[in-house]
Amino acid sequence: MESVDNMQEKLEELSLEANVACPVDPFEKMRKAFEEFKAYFKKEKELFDALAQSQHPKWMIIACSDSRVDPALVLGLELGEAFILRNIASLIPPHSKQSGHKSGASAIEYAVEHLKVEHIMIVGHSRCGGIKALLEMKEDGSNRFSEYIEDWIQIAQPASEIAKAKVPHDSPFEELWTCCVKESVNLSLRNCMSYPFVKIPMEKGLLTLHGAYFDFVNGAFDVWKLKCKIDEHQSL
Amino acid sequence: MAVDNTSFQKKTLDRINPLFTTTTQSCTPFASPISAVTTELQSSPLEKLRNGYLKFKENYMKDQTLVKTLAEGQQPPYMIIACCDSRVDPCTVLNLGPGEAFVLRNIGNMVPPYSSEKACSSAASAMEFAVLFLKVKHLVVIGHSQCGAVRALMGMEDDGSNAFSEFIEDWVLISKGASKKVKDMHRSSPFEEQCTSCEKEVINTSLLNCLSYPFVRQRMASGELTLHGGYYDFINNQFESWDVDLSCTSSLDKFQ
Repeated sequence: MESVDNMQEKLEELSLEANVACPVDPFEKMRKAFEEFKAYFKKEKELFDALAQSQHPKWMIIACSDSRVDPALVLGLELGEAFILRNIASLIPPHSKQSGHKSGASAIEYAVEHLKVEHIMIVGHSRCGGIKALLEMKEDGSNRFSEYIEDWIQIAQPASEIAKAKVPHDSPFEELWTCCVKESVNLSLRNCMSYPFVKIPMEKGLLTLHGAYFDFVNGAFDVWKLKCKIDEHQSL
Repeated sequence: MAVDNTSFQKKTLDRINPLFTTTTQSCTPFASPISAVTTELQSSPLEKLRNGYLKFKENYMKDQTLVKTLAEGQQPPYMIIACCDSRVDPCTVLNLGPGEAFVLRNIGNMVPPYSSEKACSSAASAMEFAVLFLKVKHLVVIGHSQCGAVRALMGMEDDGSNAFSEFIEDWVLISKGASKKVKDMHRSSPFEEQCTSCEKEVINTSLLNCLSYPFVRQRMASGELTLHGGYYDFINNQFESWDVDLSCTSSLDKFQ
């Protein structure tokens, strides 16, 4: 046993020395990747010349920052196709006149008013850490663990309440988790509508809102639309 | 609301009808344009996304080891802060696969400075999660050429007389220091050149603002996190990167 431990120690020492002598460049992989991309760029010169002038994406996609759910990768989007906002749990707060840095509102305003996107898709996903943290938050804040994360995910608090009411108490956590992610997407979609610059083109049929759920555990991608229809008046 | 294809169909038919009425040639030369148009008419906007997803799924599900690993959790070595611009998707440009990069995207790749006031901040929450919980090793802020957010910032009058938005200007003012610096240093340069300089200054402003967060500084000091800037110039097909060095000089002056 002793000799195995000694060998283990020796191996660790050697690998440490090797790293110091020839440190692995974190950008080497990225540099090589960009070289390949440059070749693709040259090949598609016409496309990139057009993109160099301006962008005309038809889609705005709002996705989680999670490394497993890059929407361009998952949906096979080409450059120029989608204007993409990413934050923890793909949340959009409701319209508010309160001061504060509004990353979501400014991005949506730019996409809808200036780029004139025709579709907004909000994508939730399986095993979302932000939503899990939301579901585990105690009302009295006694298990608070962060400076910023909980304040951010609190945006989805109404979704947590809906999911907890919908899913039976004795169901596995995974079911509550999945339901809450989908309700959070719906909440963010409704919050999008609270912005006049979203509501007006929606009512004119110029902008469609979509929800989506990417399940990378089972390899599924569900989509749905946000419909807002005012029924015909009926006399009582 | 369902996508209304009627006006699209009408516009397309208006386009192809003259081809029939003004030519005496047989229909064969028009076969491919018609089939292309028919394909366009049949495919809904979601159809392309669906096809994209199915291709991704086919490849992704082949690697069951990766699928199982990622189902359990993520351990990305990188956090990337990039612009929403449709032309600069960082995973596409840098060929990063699932699980490799935790990505925050907003207009202008901006990071507000640390504030102890209660704030609902997408950037702060994302950085806190990436740095303290995912323990990413590299935080990279990537800016780019022809950035609309930077252009909006550079075009703003100091007195706000040409304000055009409800939220965009408030957001881009995060980097007002960068635009002031560029306007002072490059007073006589053309606006386009000033914008290019500002795009790079904004990246540096964002990096410095990242440093204003105690948890970023702590992990940098312990050598567990490095900060990098990146600039993607899609006009000239170039990508520059640079590191942020936060170190103390080793020599010590002695006051004697």
